[in-house]
Amino acid sequence: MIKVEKLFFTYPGRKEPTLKGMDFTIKKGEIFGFLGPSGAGKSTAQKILIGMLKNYQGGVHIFDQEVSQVRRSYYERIGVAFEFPNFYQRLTAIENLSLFRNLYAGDTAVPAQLLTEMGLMESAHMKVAAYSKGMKMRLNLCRALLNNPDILFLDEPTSGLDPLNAKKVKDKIISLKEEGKTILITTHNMSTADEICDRVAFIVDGKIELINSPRNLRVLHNKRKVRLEYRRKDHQLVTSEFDLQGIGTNHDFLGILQTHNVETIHTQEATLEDIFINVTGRGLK
Amino acid sequence: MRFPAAFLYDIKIQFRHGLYAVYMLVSLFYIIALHQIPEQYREIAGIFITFSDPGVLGFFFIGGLVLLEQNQNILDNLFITPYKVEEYIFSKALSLTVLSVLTSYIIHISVFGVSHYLVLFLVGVFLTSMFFTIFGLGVAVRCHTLNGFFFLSSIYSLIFLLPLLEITGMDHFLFMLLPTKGALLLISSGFHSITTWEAIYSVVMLLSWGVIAFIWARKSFYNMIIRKASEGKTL
Ligand SMILES: Nc1ncnc2c1ncn2[C@@H]1O[C@H](COP(=O)(O)OP(=O)(O)OP(=O)(O)O)[C@@H](O)[C@H]1O
Ligand SMILES: [Mg+2]
Repeated sequence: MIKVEKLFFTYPGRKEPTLKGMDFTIKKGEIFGFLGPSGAGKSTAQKILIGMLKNYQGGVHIFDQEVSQVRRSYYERIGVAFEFPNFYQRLTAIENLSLFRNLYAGDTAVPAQLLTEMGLMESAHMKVAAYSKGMKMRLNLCRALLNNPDILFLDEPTSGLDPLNAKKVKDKIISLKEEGKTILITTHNMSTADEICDRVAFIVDGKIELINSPRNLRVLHNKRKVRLEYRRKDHQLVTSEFDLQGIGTNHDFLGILQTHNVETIHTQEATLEDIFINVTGRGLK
Repeated sequence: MRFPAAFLYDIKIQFRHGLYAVYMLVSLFYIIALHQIPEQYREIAGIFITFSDPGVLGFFFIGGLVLLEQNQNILDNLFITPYKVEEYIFSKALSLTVLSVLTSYIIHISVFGVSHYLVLFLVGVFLTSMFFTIFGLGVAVRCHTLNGFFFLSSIYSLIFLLPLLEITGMDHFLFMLLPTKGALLLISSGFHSITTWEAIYSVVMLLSWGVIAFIWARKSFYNMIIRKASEGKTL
């Protein structure tokens, strides 16, 4: 669906390229995540894929066309939610959606239905000027879905959302994937990526350091240890770690289980965040 | 469906920004003022006001509207849809022209009555407004702030206002090549009849200038907005 080869991009007036040779492919029906610290080039890469930035080097094939050559009909088939949600402030949410909906020639979604799914129906007739950041973010997703796009580009779709609304957005993204949509999302939020992405790309400094599924990454970086906390007879809290390998016959481990009051017991999974720091030597923030 | 919807929403947005309310007041002011003017000057004042206000109103308001969309980054969102630049320009111009035609009609019938033949007059306002609005859009995309726009647009518009000197008795044959002369002629047809040749000359001039303005505005829009965005320049 999307094939990117040796992608370089330099903003005018900059000496250093912002993107320094990216290669990746995204399959139909996949949720693909761009992860990386601020300034890594995630939004820049996304702007190239949506045909906005054209002076790039390398190849970007989407729907079997080079994206710098696409016609305006390309926009019938993609949906975009920019990082910052911008609307006509003096129009209501539903007016904004119907305005944008009418710009498409193909079949479109019903604005009221999208608003309902995003929990905005009660505020449908409110001017966007009176919307909170989180409401605008959800409205931004609604707008990206108006034309029933085959590919969705979502830049930080859950930023500024409370956990409940973030869940609404994540559930919607997953249900879109089930409908066969291809979705590229950008985020700094590792747990969001972990929950919804089929594969993630770690982007640092304009380069992709690694591409893999969150599950594979966790397995690869798993420390394969069990940690437990228990109370000794004198009520002192003690923490011990054991290898996962052969744990069923580990006498020390079994002894503690039998004779002590165990309070917590966990396998030591590496979070995506740990893995990111491990692989790139960089934090996410 | 795309164009009619974009056009209707442009009108709605102008309405929400209070343009219609402001123009009702402005028209009321002109109507009262024109009634105060002595009868023998009323006609010339009517022509002048119709040209310089409803006629050219789009020229200044388009700047506000385009800069608003630019500053709120709405343009990025519009142009990741199949919406075309040509449609955008046309929708903006036509929507502001509706307001021009409406107000000039109201002012005219309230001051001079309904007895005159107004088709050519309204065609004149229509073409004048289309030309000036499209021209104003070409100026607006070169600016970043409203002040910058007002400065630049005064300079750009000066040349097109030169034929107004005619009122003071000054005239020059080169004025014939500007659309303003035609605009004044057509507008004056609302007060006294003009010849067929005058009408044809005026319409041809305004249309030609309209086409030139459109080509220039479209090119400006591509260069200043679309191309800059496609290079990643901040607007
Ligand atoms: N219009 C521009 N002109 C010049 N440089 C730019 C422009 N936009 C972005 N940059 C630079 O390009 C680099 C990458 O920016 P980009 O917005 O792609 O980062 P990002 O990964 O999306 O970051 P964030 O997580 O903060 O959104 C940054 O160093 C930024 O300063
Ligand atoms: Mg970004």
